[in-house]
Parts: sequence; C-alpha cells; structure tokens
Amino acid sequence: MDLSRYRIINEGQHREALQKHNALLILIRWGYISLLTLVACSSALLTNNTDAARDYVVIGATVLFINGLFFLVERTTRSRPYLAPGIAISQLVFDLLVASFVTYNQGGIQARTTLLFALPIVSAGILFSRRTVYFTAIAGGVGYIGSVVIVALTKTRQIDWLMLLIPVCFYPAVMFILAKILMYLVEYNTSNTREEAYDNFLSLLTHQLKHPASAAAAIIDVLDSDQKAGKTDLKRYVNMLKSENQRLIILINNVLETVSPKTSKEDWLEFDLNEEVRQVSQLIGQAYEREADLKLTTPEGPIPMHGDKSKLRLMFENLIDNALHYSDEGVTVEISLRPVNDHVICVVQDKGKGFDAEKFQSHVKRFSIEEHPTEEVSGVGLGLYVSYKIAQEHNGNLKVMSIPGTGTQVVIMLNKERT
Amino acid sequence: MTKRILLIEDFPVIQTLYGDALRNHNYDVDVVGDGAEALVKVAEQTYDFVLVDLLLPHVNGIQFLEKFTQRPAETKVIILTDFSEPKTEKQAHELGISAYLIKAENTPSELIEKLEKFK
Repeated sequence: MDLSRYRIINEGQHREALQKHNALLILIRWGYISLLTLVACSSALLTNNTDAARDYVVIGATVLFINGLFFLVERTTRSRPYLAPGIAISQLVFDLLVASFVTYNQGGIQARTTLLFALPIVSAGILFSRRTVYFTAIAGGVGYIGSVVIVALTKTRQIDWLMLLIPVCFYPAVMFILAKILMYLVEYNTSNTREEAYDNFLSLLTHQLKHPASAAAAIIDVLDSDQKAGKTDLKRYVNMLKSENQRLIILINNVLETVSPKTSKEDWLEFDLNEEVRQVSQLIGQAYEREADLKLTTPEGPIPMHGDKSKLRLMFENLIDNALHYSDEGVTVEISLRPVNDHVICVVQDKGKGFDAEKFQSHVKRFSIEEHPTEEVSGVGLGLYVSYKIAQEHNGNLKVMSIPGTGTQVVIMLNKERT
Repeated sequence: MTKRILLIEDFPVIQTLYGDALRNHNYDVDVVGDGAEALVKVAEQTYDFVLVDLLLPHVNGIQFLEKFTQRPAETKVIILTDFSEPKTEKQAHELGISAYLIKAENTPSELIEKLEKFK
C-alpha cells in the first residue's frame, strides 16, 4: 500500500512527529554549536586573538545553555504533543536571533558567522516543509549578501573583498546541500513515525475486524451447547448473528472505502436520497430486529441528490448501525432528513451510551493512532471516520455532539447539487 | 463452593454470551462495562477470576491492571480480548495476569474449560 495516500496517518502523527523533530533539532544544535565554537575559538587562538576567542566561548556557552533549557522543556512536555508547535517556533526564533546577533556583531563578513544561518534553516525545515527549507536557505543567502552590501556602503568595517568572494560564491550552495541533508533526516524521522502509525492503524483495524468474528464464534458455541442441552429457543442467538453479520459487512465496506481511491465526480449519478435512507433504515433495523425503535422523519417526496450513491449509503449504514448498536433495545433512534436550499441536513440521534465528543475531533482527524491504542471510544472507530470523509467528499460536513451516558447526535450537511 | 467471576466487557453481545455461559456452569458472574466500574467492584468484594477486555471506555484494561495492584492471592486476572499486539501482551504479563486469551480463539465453552484447569 502507498502510505502517502493515508492522510489519516500523516495528519494523525503530525504533532507526534513534530516532537521527534524538536528532539532532533536540539541534538543537532548540541553538536553544531559545540563544533562551531571549537573551530572559531581555535582559529582565534592560533592568531593570538584571545579577546575574540573569549567572545566565541561566551556566545557558544550561552547558546548551549539555552539549548539545555530547550532540552529540559522538550523532555518534560513529551506527554503534551499540543506544545510541540510552540517549542518548534521558539527554536526557530531563537536560531534566527542568534544568527542575526552574531552576524551583526562580527560585521557579517566572516564565513564562520554565516554558518550560523544553517540552524534557522534547519528549524524552518523541521517546522514547515521542504519548500520552506529552500526558501529560508535562499533568504539566508540574500540576507547575508545584503548585510555585506550594507557594511560595505556604510563603511562600518574594513572588508577583505578577496576573502569575501569565497562565502558569497559558496554560501548558497552550502546552504542548499545542508537543506537536502536536513530533509533526508526529517523524512527518515517521519517515515519511522509513519510506519509506527501504520502498524498501530493495522493493529486497531485487525481488532475491529475480529470483534464481529469473535461474537459469531461465541454465538455458534452457545447455540451448539444449547442444542445439546435440548433448548429450543434459539431466536435470540439467531438475531445476534444477524446483527453481527451486518456489522461485519459494514466494517468490510469501511475498510474498502479507506483503501480505495476517490471516485471521480464525473461518475456521480442523481438518485433519491430519501429512498436510500429509508432502505438503509429498514435493512439495519431488520438486522437488529429493532425496526420499531427507528423513527424516520423525512419529506413526502423524493430528495434528488447528486453524488456517489454507494458511499452515501455506507455513511448512513455506519451512523444508523452505530446508533442501534450503542443503545439498548426499546430506546428510539431518530433519523431525519431536511432539504434546505442546495443542501440536505441529516440528523441521526440516539439515547445510547454516548462518548467523549472531544476525542471524536482528534479521532476523526487522526483515526486515534496512538502509541498504545488501548482505549476504545465507543462509536468512534473506522465507521465514524469514513462517514466524515464521505460527507466532506460531497462538499458537506459531519458534526457530532455526544454526552457519555446520555446519547449522541450526528448532524450531516450534504450538498445536493452537482458542483 | 460457587466461584465468583467479574467480567469487564463493554460489548453487549459478548457480555450476554460469556456471562450466560458462565452462569450456566454455576459461576456467580458480575458484569461491568468499563474499567472504572470494575475498580469499584473489586474494592467491594473478592473474585476468583477477573476477566478483562483491553479496549474499554474511561479506564481501559491496562489502566485497570495498573490500578488493581492490591489483589487477593486467590484472584486470577485473565485478559479476554481481540487485541493481539505483542507489546501490549508483554505489558499485561508484567502487570501480573494469569493468562492472555483472544476471544476469537476462546469461545465460551473453551474459556470455561480453561478456567476449570486453574487451581
């Protein structure tokens, strides 16, 4: 499978990947600044310039001290990935300030000071994207050349023009190569994270697939035992088998939906959404033997809808199945459809177990890919994510309101028209 | 003497199937749907077996094991899950479980056979 297609994995691991990149950047800074300080100090001492050597040591030590603070902050906030973007931005700003200060202090004409621009480039690349890395490298090169020009025009320092040619010619190339190396490191870091996320995704998916299969195995086992014991009332277990088999079919369709490519809008057809929802309600209601619990409120006539009929059907199967599955027998599940101008508002509401709707927001965006996915949020599995995706593909949206122990309301807005 | 079992499982069908099968074999069974309720139950009484699903709402199976450290010697904790992930299984064993059973491979009657073998 092509991992890059799975945006759920990329989006899901963005903050966790950013945490790893923050740690990588701090590590790079330890080595880079130490090496730069050592080289600058050594070259100053070789020319008997003890004042300059002392300055380099002070600057280097200060930067390394602040890097130590970044190290501590990064370590202590590992359980809070939402802080990762803030830490990354702080590092970028810090590196830019250091590079600017030292360049200004040295007059901007010495090759070693320009190497400090490498760190902001690294920060930018880690925080944003490949394009930002190259953009920052170019901006750094332009900034350096600009500072040289300003120094020359204002005659602030004496410039050795021959020595200047070396960094001017090679600086952009060095930065570009550095950017390439950085992106390789970042992508290596990210691919490990993506592979880990993919493994977790498969693990959770396998569990979801096993659920109805285990239930079926248990039902057959109990049927066998009851039959041997001469019990004849098997209806209850047959009903269980029907509903679990229905869930399995829906789950398989969800998996197929996740791995299949988007259908082209050119292939969409016009159909009656009202009739589709009625059919799905009847099908799922029969599978659970709970047709009486389903209360359908739709307009009398057809609701013409332009879209992918099988996907929209799957969306409603997911929502109605979830509502029945997580509410008790005898509890009503309300389904309503209401056309509003170019849109259709669909609501599926139950008074079942409910779940933490805040987790839904992160799960829908991430499909709950965590390092240890041992917490199941009832109703928030592949089905709800797939439904969200299908709504979005139809220029619509899906919102969930849920209170644990009280119930869940899913509101879907779909665009009826061809867009 | 009738043995007491606490079944920690949020899936209603599994609650019914395993719960009924265990009761039919003369086990006294309490069923709860999440780890938080289970912690209350184990504080109130002693069970011979605690069957724990891993993926639970509020307090999951691993979190329950981490909090249920003051266990009577006679209580055997058994994971009963569909989640087969080596890292999680190792973690569960380190938290002192007696067995890690996959539901798909342990129907109610097979589970009862295994429970009978515990002394």
